[in-house]
Amino acid sequence: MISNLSEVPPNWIKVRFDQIAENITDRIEKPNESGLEYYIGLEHLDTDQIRIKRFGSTEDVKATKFLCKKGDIIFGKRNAYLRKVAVTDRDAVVSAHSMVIRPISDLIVPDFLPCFMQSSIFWKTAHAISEGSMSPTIKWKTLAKQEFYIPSIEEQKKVSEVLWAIEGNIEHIENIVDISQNFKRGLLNELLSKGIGHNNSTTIKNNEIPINWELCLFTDAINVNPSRKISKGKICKYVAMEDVIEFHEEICNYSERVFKNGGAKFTKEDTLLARITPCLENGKTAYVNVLDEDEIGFGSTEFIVLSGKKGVTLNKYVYYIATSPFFRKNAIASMRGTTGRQRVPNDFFDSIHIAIPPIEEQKEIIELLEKSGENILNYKSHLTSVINLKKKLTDDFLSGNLKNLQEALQNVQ
Amino acid sequence: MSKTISQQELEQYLWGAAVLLRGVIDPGEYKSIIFPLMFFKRISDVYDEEYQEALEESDGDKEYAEFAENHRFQVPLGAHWEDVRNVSIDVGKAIKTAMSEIEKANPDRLAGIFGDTNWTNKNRLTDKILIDLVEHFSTINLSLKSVPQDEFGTGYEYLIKKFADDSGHTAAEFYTNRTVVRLMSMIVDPKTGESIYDPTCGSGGMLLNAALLAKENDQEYRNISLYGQEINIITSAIARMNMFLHGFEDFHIVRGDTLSNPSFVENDRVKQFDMVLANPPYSIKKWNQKAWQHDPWGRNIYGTPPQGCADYAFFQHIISSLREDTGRCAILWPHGILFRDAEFDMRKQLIESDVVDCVIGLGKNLFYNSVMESCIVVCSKNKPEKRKGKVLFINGLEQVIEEKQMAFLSDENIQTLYELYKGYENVPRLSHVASLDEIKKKDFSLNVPIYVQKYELGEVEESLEELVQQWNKSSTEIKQHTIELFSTLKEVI
Repeated sequence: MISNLSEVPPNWIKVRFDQIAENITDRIEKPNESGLEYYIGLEHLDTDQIRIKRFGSTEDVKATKFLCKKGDIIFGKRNAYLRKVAVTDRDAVVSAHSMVIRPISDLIVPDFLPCFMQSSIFWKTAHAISEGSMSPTIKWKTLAKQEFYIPSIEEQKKVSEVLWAIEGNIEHIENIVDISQNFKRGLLNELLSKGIGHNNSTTIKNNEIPINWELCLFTDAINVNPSRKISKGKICKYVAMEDVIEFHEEICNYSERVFKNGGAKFTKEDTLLARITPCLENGKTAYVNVLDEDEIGFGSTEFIVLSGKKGVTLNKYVYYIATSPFFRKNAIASMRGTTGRQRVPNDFFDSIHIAIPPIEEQKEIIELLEKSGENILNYKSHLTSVINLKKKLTDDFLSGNLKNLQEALQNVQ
Repeated sequence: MSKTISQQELEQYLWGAAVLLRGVIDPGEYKSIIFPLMFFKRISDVYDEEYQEALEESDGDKEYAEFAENHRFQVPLGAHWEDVRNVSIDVGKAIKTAMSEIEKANPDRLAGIFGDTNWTNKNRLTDKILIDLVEHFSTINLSLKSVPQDEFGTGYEYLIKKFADDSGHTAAEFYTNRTVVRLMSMIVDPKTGESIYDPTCGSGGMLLNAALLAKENDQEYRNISLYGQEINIITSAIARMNMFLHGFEDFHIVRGDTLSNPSFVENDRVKQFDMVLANPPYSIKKWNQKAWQHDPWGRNIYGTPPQGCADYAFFQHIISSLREDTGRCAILWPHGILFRDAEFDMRKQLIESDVVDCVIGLGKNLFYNSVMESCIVVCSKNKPEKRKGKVLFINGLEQVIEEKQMAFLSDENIQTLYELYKGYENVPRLSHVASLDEIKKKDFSLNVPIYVQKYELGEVEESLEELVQQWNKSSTEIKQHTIELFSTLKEVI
């Protein structure tokens, strides 16, 4: 099969895949005794991601696997529709559901091959030659004889230079997202314990707090499981535990259910805090954003509902408290019950003290944290736009749609 | 006076018989015992009902009531269900005798219908088991009033399906997933007065389904003629019973090997029909390849298939069985026939002869007890003008619903696929109209994914210019926001 292009640009050549790549099948009989540290399974490759960010350990890997060298391409040959192809930055043991591909010959620039394998021209072929129904798999023998059109060496160099430069940019932005997320966490901790612009502090019950703040019992400052009424048989929005994502403010999904009796009941701007292992430890805490004014919803019995006390705490401030390291650490330490089913007991909230700033200062703190959150969102959306740009460039370059590389790139700096 | 029984009662009753056999004989063989007994009971009960009616009509003239004209089927003296019920020793022998008497008394229509079950092997079927079965069947009156033909037919289908579920592997030969059959029937679209043929008809479900579709469309369906051939004796008998029970009279089901001995022949060639629906046994190895090379009926139009796989023999038989003017067919195949190298030459000729109309790729698990991926190939001897020189490819992969080890099409899925077939357009990820030239360029492979994308390729919709703009804009915004954030922070901390 030849991957047809609508129009083959001049200087492009037709190659069989095995003219530009080889399949490395160096076997490792006992990975756990190989002396290698890292294992790359299909689970460590992400769709459309050219870099591998997670690795497993060879300790738990016993059956025969493949060996890959730094710079090899790991191609998920099983379920190829997941578009898993990445370059390894270290020697490792690789799952037998992958192919280890190494660029060969003077027809191809090594850096170009992984870019090529990320293009939809390549994936179209990969899908078409997948065999089997349970988990469609690609055979090297079949892949080897596929024919593709590729640009001249000069163009390949330019293309891979541009695409890897953008990839570098993507990596850079990912780092910034991580840093800004850490920054927000640090800021949260700082603001919730030291407030804004205080020079004087006072010590109450061994707690150093800003001078005009109040140290109160949790239950005096925050409503725990406030009374919300739903009549039996009413159809309401229902939030299940899986609808809340770790360290994510918004509820990502909900369903509608008839209210019978049980479950946590909540209203707009309440905070849902998972009380059970491992959801609490994982950081499942959400701020209710899916309800209208005066609407009441319900959810898993494993949520604790928190809300602000009028004149004492603002709802959003309660949410921030619930996500603060100080509070989480104490809540996790208080968990009781058999292993695996441990929960935060209700009396935990009667025993813990928290420092509460005046309402005005709460507002300022919220504003700052929101700004910092917005910043993260900006980075994330920027990341998406760069990823899309790279994808588009990859497809356009390799389908021969971009005739003049320089022209296309003059705007991209 | 008997009352009508509900569908559910009927199903429970039929399944109850199977339960009696559980653990005694192999599930694959239930059918060879239950279906004949049930049909025997039905014939006896219908006979009684007709007798009663004739008796009333004639004011009690018993002789008149026994007249052959008053009965659909003749039940000779001593061969009635009640006669068998009165026997307590050698029950198997009594059953066998009664069945054979009934077959003899109705030679034109019932010859061989009870099959070749070994009723007298007492090691297998003891008197006790047979008495239990007879008594179980006796609990319900299977007269026409009590169980109208339609309902009986449905109950019967239910049993066939249950057997398919229960016996797993062996069932594939006599049961094809009904949801797929429905789609195939809709595509060939049977019309009043036409003929439908199934060369490997199993229990006749495809033929019935197609004919009943015409009924559903308010067409006169009783004058659609049904033809089927089936190699397995008990399955072919079941098919005939199935037809009777659904109220069809104009049908021709014969037992025999379609490849080596086609039963429907006319003028030295195989008979031609308006429609063929088929789910041939996939990739059988035991067939007479040698005879095919000199097929006396001239069916080897495209060549001789490999010994290891008779699929293209069935394919050519089917194409040969289509009328030149109206002939059309829908065949359920395993995926391999679309691209296997061994059949390249035959496939090439098939495609070049421009009879292939549409290929619908379906998912796995649609065959009983096999995960194999399947496809429907639709052919037509006389394509409409706009379909000439082209083949429509439909990706039905996402239309298949999988539950545990079984898959099926919902009504909505069937409708979607049918509309794609009718629509004959390029729909992203769903369908593609390919010219014969295009297929030639793809080495005469009919593999659907080559023509229609199965999966998202993650392609980006926006133009490069838009994306560059977005990038520049968000870069600027980020700069501004970061500056703002840090200046605020400076103020407060």
